[in-house]
Amino acid sequence: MTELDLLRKKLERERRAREEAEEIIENMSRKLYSAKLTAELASKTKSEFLANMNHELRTPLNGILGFCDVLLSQVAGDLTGDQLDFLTQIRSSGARLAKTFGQIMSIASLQDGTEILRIEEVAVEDTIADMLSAAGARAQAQEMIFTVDIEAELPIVKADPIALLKMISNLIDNALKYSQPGKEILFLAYKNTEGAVQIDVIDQGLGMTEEELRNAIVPFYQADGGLSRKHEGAGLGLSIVQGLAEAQGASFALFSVPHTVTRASIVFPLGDRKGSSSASLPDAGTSHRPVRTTVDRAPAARGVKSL
Amino acid sequence: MKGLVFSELMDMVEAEHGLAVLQDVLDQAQPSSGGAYSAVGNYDHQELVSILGVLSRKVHQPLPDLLRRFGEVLFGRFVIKYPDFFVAPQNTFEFLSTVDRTVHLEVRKLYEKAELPHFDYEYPAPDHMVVVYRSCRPLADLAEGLILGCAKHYRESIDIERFDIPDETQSHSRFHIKRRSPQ
Repeated sequence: MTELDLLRKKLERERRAREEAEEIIENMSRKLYSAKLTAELASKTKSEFLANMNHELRTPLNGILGFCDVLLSQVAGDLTGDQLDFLTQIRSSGARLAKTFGQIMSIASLQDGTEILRIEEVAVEDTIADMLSAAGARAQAQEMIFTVDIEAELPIVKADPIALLKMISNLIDNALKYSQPGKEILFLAYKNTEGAVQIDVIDQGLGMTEEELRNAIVPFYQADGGLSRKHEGAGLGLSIVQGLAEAQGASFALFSVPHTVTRASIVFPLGDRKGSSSASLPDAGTSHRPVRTTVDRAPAARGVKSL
Repeated sequence: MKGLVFSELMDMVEAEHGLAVLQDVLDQAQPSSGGAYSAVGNYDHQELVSILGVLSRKVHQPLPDLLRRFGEVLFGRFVIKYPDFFVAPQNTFEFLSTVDRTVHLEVRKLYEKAELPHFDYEYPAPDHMVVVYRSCRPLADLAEGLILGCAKHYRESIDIERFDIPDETQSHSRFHIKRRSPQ
């Protein structure tokens, strides 16, 4: 056999191998395309189901809560003490159900990528003033100390104001849930060493181990999971904060020492517009009321950053 | 068995023995695929054994030696084709430890039905590792060659002591690998 014959035979083998490879790749491409269509259909079905559930669950729930409010206001007639207690229980359970459902919808839309955010230039202090006042009242009711420390001339950030409220509300909810009476919850907003606006919510509650910290942003995870758990909630709050932070180009971090302290931090990208917040928070009264302390220095000077 | 192994074997035989020998071997072995191997295809492992059997008689080298040689060459090709697998492991023992949990995991992502050998590991001493090889194919010699190729890649001197364990259903061997101290 001449060298030319050998080369011809080699070429023939390689041609057949190439044809076989092309056929295999074509088949794989068809399978992948089919799998993609199936996955897209499943995702669409899931989104439609969630949209329907949103309507089907929220509408009757709003009816229940609305008429509870009407009855509680006693415009429809006076209520006995027991009736008021029972209605208050129904109202509170309904509100809890609405909140859990809202969280499930949030996490679903974040996972689907269907959460629509409107990123704009936001003055943090103005946006969250009312919520901090309400949080202060809740802390007071639970006999906790709620301290707010917002740096003066805080720069404008880029964020979705509703998402911002949702994130901070979730962090404060967690701090209140896992703290005990007499303990302090600290809310800080300041320009960090990188020049970005950082918000810290610090509590002296249960804290988390390293493993619990790793799992904290896993949806439906609760550090005290199982039937014996002491704290109510779906375990979605921190996942939502993490998802919303990512969607807004912000970052979210957790630090914790078990039974000592937990710090949840969000760092927002700065807006293009210069400016600062203007709303005022209630003045300090007792240490059980919301406190606004305007500081001219970063909280790092108080040792907060060393947590 | 994945076509990549076959196409690499064709390349090695041609490079080390010439195209005429390769053609002779294929003509004699008469593999059902006709010797046209694509890397993404699957072929009967008997074709590999049959081709190497004919080559063994033709070049007067024992079949186990040829399988080991092929293993060494094949490992060198893996290093070139799949460099990501070699970023983290710093030595032979580290790399071998990743085969089952990393390399084979990635292979399965691409080829769901790939029939891969299974490895277990024991570490009796810092310079002594035991690799337990189980496969539905009698290719322990090829595995030994791959281990030797691995040590060559990491420029380490090793001694391999192999114990074949009788097993009716699968090929089962224990490789005692001892790392020699640097001279």
